[in-house]
Amino acid sequence: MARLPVIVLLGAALGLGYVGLSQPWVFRNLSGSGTPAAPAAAMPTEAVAPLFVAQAVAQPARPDETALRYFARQGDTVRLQREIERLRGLYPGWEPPADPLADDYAPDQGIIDIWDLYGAGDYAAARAAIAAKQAADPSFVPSPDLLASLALGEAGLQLRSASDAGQYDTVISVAANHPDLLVCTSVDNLWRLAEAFVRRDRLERALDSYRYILANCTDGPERYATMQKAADLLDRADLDSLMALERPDADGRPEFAPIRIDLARRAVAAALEEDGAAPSAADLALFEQHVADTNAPDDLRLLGYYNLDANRANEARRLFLKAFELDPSAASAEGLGVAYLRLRDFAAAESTLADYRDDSDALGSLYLDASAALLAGEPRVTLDGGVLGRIVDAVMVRRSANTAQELGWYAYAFQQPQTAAEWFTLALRWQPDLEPAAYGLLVASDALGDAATVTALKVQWSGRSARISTFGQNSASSPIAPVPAARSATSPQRSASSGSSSASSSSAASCTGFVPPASLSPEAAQSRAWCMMGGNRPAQAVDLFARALQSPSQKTRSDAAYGQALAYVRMGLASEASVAAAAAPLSREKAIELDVAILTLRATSAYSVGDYMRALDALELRARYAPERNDLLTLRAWSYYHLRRYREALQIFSAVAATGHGDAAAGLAATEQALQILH
Amino acid sequence: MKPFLLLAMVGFAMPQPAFADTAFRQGEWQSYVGNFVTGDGRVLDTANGDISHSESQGYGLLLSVLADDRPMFERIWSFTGSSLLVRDDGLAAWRWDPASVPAITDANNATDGDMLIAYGLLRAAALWDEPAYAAAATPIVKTIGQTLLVQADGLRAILPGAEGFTDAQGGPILNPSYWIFEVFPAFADVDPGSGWEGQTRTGLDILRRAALTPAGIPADWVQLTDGAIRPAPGFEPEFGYNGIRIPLYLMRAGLDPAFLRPFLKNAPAPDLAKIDVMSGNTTEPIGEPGYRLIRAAMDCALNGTPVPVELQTMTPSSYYAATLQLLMLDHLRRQRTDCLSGEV
Repeated sequence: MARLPVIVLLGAALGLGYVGLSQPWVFRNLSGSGTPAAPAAAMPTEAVAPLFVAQAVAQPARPDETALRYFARQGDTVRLQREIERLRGLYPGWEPPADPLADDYAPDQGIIDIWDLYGAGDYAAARAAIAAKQAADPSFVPSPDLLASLALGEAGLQLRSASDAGQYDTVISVAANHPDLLVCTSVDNLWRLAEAFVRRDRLERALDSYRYILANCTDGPERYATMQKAADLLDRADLDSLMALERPDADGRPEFAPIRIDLARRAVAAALEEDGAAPSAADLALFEQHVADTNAPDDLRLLGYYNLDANRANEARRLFLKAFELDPSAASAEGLGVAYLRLRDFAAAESTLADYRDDSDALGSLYLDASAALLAGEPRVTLDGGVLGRIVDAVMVRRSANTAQELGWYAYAFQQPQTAAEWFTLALRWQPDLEPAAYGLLVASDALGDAATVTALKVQWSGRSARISTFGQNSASSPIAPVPAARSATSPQRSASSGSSSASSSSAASCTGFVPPASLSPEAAQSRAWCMMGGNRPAQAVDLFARALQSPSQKTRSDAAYGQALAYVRMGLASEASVAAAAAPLSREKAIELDVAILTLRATSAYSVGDYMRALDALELRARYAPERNDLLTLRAWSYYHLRRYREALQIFSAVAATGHGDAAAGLAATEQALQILH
Repeated sequence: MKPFLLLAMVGFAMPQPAFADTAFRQGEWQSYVGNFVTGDGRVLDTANGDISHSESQGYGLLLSVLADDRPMFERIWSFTGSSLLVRDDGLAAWRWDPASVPAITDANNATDGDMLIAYGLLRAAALWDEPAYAAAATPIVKTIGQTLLVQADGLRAILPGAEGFTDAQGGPILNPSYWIFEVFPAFADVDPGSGWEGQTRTGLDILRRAALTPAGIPADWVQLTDGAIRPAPGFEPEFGYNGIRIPLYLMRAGLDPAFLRPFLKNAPAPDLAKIDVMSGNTTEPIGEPGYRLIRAAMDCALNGTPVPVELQTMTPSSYYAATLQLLMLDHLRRQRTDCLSGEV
């Protein structure tokens, strides 16, 4: 057993001399002297002696050899020797038994029981037993070794309790008062002390503690665990200084080789965090070599995502393919699917993800993204029935408005306007403000000669979509093919699915590529989510904010609830936005901002399905928080118009038209005409 | 219960010597220990999932002194010192849950628990002539004195915990049952000048303010404002299991029985009760024998009514009721034997 060599040295090495923020808790010394028991290891024999001189009257003539024989039976030679020296000091002329294991001595069973309680870690019962024995026999004096052993055991318990409760000053002060706790045979105490120093920003002392273990302790697994613990708490430069204390293991290999790989792995993973630093060339090379040697699927996937992040999609695909071959799991399929998407190989992405689309929500939406991208490919390719069938299944199961409208455009491209109109209608039912679906329905209805639907759509979307409200004004009314650029600009989900392929995603360059939210820390997920919002990819942002909501920090949770609610607003999902906003406390300003956004959404959604009363209700509520913009005033006026409340419509249209708002002028004309018909 | 069974449960407990300085009957104390103290020195709150807390450990220490049972004191103190007294400020973490890892599930302190632990240690130091106990108590008393006696509407008051009680509008949130009146003289001795000297007066001032409210007694959690008292925001406006200790503490400290009057008025015989302090209405009876004894003792102190015989022996119904009953019996048997005239 390696002990700290000299207490003074330890104090200097660990900087314990100036600790003591809290009064060390000291167990009572039952010898009756009234002085607190000295910390066990700090109890030199000369300090003990006077205490026993004072007690000489109560000392029996013969020494009590119970403890001596107890230590002998336990094989504790260090304690045995110390007890022999102690008894020699007390009883000049006394000689220790030739055979401490012999049966010629009848020990006091009560004391043996107390040592057994101590040995079982039942310090409270041992304390009680000592007091009970003293009550029964006032001449009984427990040996200093017993008291010191108990005090040390209790101090160890206190150190662990304090460490578990995050009371690091106590950890440091208990350790300072009981240096005997800091031994290789109780390496856990040393780990806890090192952590306490880290938590109290005394880094040098923490490093001293780790160095002490690595310089003195020999147990291989404990040395290894020491480095693992240090790796969780220290930065790389400090860890490298500890690495210098590495020794060869039993087979002559460097004992920390796996730690080096783990550190390299951590460095690669850290690069995937938002604003994460790139790994060093050495770390990257080490990890790549390790992956090549071992082909562990987790590592293959990590390196795959790293390569995706570094815009090396072909290498990423190679790694994910290998991972998928060795471990055909959802995680492997997800990485491979993302790589295919990045490479714009949508057919491969769709077919890879198809079997895993029900494994999780994230995989479900990834599959729908791949499907939408596949359907939207230009020139259009004919998909076989099996593929189309499973896309349709997924759309219906997950009620994906975006992929539904892509199915609409797909049908339209193959001259099936009736089928197209049905898909667009379904998409609008799921997401009433999905403009590309409304535009699709307009074009398809026009192709079908359904003038009533065309007119209704133009009225509903006036003020919200220029291409709908001006449809048919310039060119002849012949249906034209949809303009992909216009669609991708207003279709967040599509731009998310095609990643680097669409113009709009270039603004989100810093968060391109799919990273599973669960692989990020809540805070990293949070900043990635905002990045997604910046790139107009709210569906991805929702999942990332959901991860951020798992943060222990209330501030992060609050920010995440706010962000997720905004993302739902962006997706046109008012109810989900309300639920998200309630997930964490928000500041008053943010709560109001969200209420305004959600009510705006409710108003436009209600209007677009013809529920004008609810549109007005939402606008009334909204008006409590914020003034009404011209477009919403116009929406209000059109609502009055549809409810035949022409006077109110006229009043608002007049006021808004006076500001030059073109859409209001059209409404004003329509209202005046209606009033004339009435009168 | 059979005594030998209880002895087996408590391991090393020895029969008390005949000359033990205690008002407890042997069966009573053994029954308490057998029901509520584990072999490793943990005092169980049996009504709360057998958790322990600084309060239960503090009561356990104090009762061990009152029982003159030093082995039990050692047992409870060993656990308390090594498992709860771990906070950086030297106070005890208040909550220890055996079903949880780590077992300390809330590292905040509960000031009454710390006070009971320190008081138990000081009483032990005096009874068994052991200065080491006093040496352990002193830093606890000083930490409370220097960090948790705070200003509240012009009074120096006991903050219930180090974290979380000073954030509300309208002053710190207080708990009137944390004025354990008997501890203040002892605390002022070991920590003069921190403000312990005035705490009896503060505690009585709080009761005077409460006397002017509809119920005449304070809610368990209160704020002092504008010379008055009101239920603390965010808490039920209710007098309940906390506050029922106030009359017990008043009687144990030998304070003016007139302060008991509103408490007795709010205790519909034979029980104590939860009281809505806004209306003064009874909301729920509090009726274990330990609680009924507090009512009976008030009735004796104010009206000379003898304590019913069935309440004159501890019934181990729950940890809390049994604890309060032993504290009340200790007082009656030592100070008010006249109330126990019907005793068998």
